[in-house]
Amino acid sequence: MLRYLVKRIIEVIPTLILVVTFVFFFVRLIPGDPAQMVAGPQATQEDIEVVREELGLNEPIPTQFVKYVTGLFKGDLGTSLRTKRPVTTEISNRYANTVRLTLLSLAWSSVVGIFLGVWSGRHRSKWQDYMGMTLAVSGISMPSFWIGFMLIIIFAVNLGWFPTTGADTFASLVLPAFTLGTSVAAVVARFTRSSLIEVLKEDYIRTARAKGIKEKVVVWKHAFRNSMISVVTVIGLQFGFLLGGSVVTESVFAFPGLGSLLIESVNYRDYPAIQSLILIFSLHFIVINLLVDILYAVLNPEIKLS
Amino acid sequence: MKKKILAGMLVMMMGISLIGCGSGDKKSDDTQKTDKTTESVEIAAGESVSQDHDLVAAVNVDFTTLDPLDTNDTLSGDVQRLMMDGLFGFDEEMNVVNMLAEDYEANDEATEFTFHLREGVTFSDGTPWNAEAAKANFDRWADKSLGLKRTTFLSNILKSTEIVDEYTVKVTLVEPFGAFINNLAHPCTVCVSPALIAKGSAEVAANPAGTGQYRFVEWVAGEHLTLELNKDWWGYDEEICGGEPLAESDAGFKTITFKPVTESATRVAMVQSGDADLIWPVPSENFEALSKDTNVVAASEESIVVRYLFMNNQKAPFNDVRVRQAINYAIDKDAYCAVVKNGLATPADSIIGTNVQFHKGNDVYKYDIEKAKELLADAGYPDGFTTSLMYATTTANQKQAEFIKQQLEQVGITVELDGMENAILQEKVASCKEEGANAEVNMYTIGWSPSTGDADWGIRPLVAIESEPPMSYNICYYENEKVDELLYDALGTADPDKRAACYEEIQNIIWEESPLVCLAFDSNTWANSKNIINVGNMPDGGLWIRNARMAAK
Repeated sequence: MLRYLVKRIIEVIPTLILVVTFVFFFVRLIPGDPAQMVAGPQATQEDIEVVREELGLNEPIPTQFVKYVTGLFKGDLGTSLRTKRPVTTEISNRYANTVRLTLLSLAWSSVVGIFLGVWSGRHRSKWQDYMGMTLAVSGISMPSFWIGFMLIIIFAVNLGWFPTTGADTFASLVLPAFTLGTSVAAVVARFTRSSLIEVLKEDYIRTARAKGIKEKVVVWKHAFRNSMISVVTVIGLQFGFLLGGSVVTESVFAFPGLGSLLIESVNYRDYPAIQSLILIFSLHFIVINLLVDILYAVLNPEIKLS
Repeated sequence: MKKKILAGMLVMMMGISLIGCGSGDKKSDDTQKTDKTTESVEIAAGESVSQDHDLVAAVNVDFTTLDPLDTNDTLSGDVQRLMMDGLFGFDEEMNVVNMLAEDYEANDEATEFTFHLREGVTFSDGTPWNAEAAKANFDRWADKSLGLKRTTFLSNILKSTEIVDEYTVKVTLVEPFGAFINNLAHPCTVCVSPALIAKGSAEVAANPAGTGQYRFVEWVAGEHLTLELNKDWWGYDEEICGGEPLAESDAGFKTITFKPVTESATRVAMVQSGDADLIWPVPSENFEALSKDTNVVAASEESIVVRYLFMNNQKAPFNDVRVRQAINYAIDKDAYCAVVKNGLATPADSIIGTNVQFHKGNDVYKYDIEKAKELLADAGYPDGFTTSLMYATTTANQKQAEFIKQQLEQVGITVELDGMENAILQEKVASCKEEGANAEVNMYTIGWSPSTGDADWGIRPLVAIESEPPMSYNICYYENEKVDELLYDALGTADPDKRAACYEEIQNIIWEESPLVCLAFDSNTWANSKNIINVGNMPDGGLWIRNARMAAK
């Protein structure tokens, strides 16, 4: 297992190098001048040039690249062009917030999604199935900003049970987590349902039923574990997406997370921040993929990690 | 059975969706003349409970920095103005008032200024306010090596500062600059403690110390910024103020916490639920909804922001004054205010706002399609022409662009809408190095306001020949040597009467030649819980909270 892990980690390095290089140069191809954005809407050309010099944007691009990469090795993600603070500082606070929100959203939505999917799948074509899938479709169809605003109006303004905005208390995570988790739960439900239906067609399930085992046990003890393989993949992907932050939900709830940081950085053409954020998001997916692969082996001992 | 359940659920869903759609019924097309939606409460002297209250204000963007010399956004400037005072400042109507300077004299050529400083004032870190502190600040403003966003604000014209005595400094400029005092009233020239200046710009941004009504507590970027009241502020002291204190003794809040909330509907929800005591701006769509809430006062007031439609004066057909005037006649400014701004604007009567120093109004170009068509025919375009309009894609700009397109269609002018992301637009238009005749831009929408409150910064960057892109924002490529001459004459003297005369003539010429269409003066909007009084926006969009008081619930 350890050898497998080490091998996987080493394989990651070329991918990361590619990502860093590609993003560094690609982001500079986008039209738009960071010095102009930072200098502001009333800046004269003189102001812009002063800012450009100060931000180190006059240095030749290869020099900037080398500086950035050597910084990465030391754990320095560069200095934000927009705020002049280290990118690490900009990210660290928001990172914790986004992780908390992601974990809460994923926790409830995975559980609810799986249960809903199993419930629909085992009662295929009956009323439970239709109800479950209608709920799932609604979850995917309702725009997150609409869900967010509805929750704010009902629970924050009218009932006053939760705060409207912020990320400091657990209570302030509830409404955004509900908003974010809705579409995730819906997707997980649909995948669980179809996966379960496929597994329920297998021969060993027929054998189990023929042996007289109760349907509940057949579903939960035998079919469930095998149907989880594809569900775990989907949840892993959703995890990666959620860790990238959700700009819409963060705007509606004034939630200081990574999504709004990325958009703000893009608007300002804040190259170091954009590069570092994309690098981090790539790392997320790489790590999550590794975890999911390990989970496969746990779920199905027949799958050997080679 | 299945179908019934399905139908039932659909009805339930539709029911839920109607909860949000309450308030949109009334439609008034008279422009918003009243300032406030609910009457303010009366608070007797000494009865304010504000100094025991922690105020929460929700704002639309995050702060950028706490170093005034590195700030170009109004919001950061607001917070700095609460913690630090300048030699001069603005009152609620953008009149220049004395703050840390009690008095000044200038020579006729506006090259030498002597300031008499206020006595009895101390910075929050204990350093006294005196001529040495003033010189430290002037020297910082003159320092070209700092590389900050406002480094060029004064560094090109400051020559030297000398200490005359403990409370007097004399400043010499490189060339005449009549608007100097207004520059010293600007938020970026508030005075910082000399002890901080000695430590460097990073320290100034990290631990600001000023002479202001509030002191800095903490800033967690993206989450909140907190200030606490300075009960020893000189502005409460009648004697130091020379008669009238700047704020009543029970005014001000124990702490103010600013929370950045970009989504305007969320800000509105916050002030309704009590999560915030004060919010600004309030977009026009939400204004109606808030005006129905009796716990909240929503208010609006004319600002110094002007909305323009620029035309490239070096390209046909806009090089003909008749075409430009025709376009001016073809756009209904009242409809613009009612439709595009939901009533929260006033038709512009000059290139600068009413509260800008030396404003002189002219008659608004009346909506007159016949006259427009006549002028176009005279100029040789009886069937109109096709052109394009560039603008940054925001919801407000899109609405504005479509309005303009529709209006000009009525006189035969077809406008192709060319909206794009702001950074790309700036690169294409503001950084364009071509001559006006070869520039890509035909028409362009922009808003502008002089944060110095002075006519110079409201006019020169938009119409002077030296301000053509990429230097500054004369995107109309307007080249009028007479106007240029008057602009420099006005800068070359400190005599307000002479300056007023120059600016009057400038505004008249620009009105006549119509190089750009002055659409409207925007209104600032804010909302606060009804037991707070004396809060709002100043015409430059800044926060006015100095004398804010609060009634007990």
